[in-house]
Amino acid sequence: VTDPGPAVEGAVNWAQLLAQLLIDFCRLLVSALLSAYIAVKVVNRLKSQSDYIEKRIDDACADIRSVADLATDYWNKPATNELRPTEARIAARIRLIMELRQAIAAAAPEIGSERLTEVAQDFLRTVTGGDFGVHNRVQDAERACAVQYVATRFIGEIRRARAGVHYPAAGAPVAF
Amino acid sequence: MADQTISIARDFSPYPAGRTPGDGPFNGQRFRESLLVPAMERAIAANAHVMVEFGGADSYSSSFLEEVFGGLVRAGRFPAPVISRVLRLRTDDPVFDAYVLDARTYLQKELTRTAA
Repeated sequence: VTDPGPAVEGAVNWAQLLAQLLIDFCRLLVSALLSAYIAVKVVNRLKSQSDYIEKRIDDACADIRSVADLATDYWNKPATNELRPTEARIAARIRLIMELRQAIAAAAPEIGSERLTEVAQDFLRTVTGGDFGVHNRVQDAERACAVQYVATRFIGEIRRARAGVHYPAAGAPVAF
Repeated sequence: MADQTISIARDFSPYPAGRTPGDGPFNGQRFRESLLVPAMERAIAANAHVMVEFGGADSYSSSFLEEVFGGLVRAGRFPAPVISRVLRLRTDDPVFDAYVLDARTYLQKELTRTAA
């Protein structure tokens, strides 16, 4: 058996080293690709969740506005049988808004805040308070206007809560 | 004896509205006289509570709520401390929280007024 000699041994060592380097490089590449893939997936998921919440919030705000418009027409006229369907639409859409708000709050807790609950309750009692549903109800122009203001406040508070903007505490200095 | 439970929607109407019979068949006065007062009498006799459940109705006009709960105090059938001890307002449905809160406010307002 002939001795391969130091030159061949050196070549084998170099080949082994190169092979090891190649394997390490492949490992790094695979883990980098995997990390990037997971990161993209997570970002996409967060983005789609955020888009979903924004869409539901837009739906809720549109419903609030539509209830306010129905309620303004309703309160600006005395009770008639023709207004009964409007009454039903108002009650049903209010229910929908409240359910939608609860569903959104499950994913975006700021929408379920105590402050927003108070504003929502104010909206509810302005729209369906007074003599709502009473057959001999008279026109209530004041309430017809008030529903527009409470609806705007409700929408504004939802947008503000979502954006993380809060009013300063009472008495705190306000910077302009 | 167990607590008396009245569901406004189930036992009276899902569409309660108005104050007096002139305002419609499912008015506050009728609810108070036909359901709430008898339940209060039974609960007092049995040392129990009256639970008024708000869920399931279409909506509650403030005239209905004021007549039922403010009117209960004004009617003077039960002393204010007895009403406070016996009557419980509740709902399992968060949508109706605002109405429960309003009913409590009407009740409290009249209890405070009569105590003064």
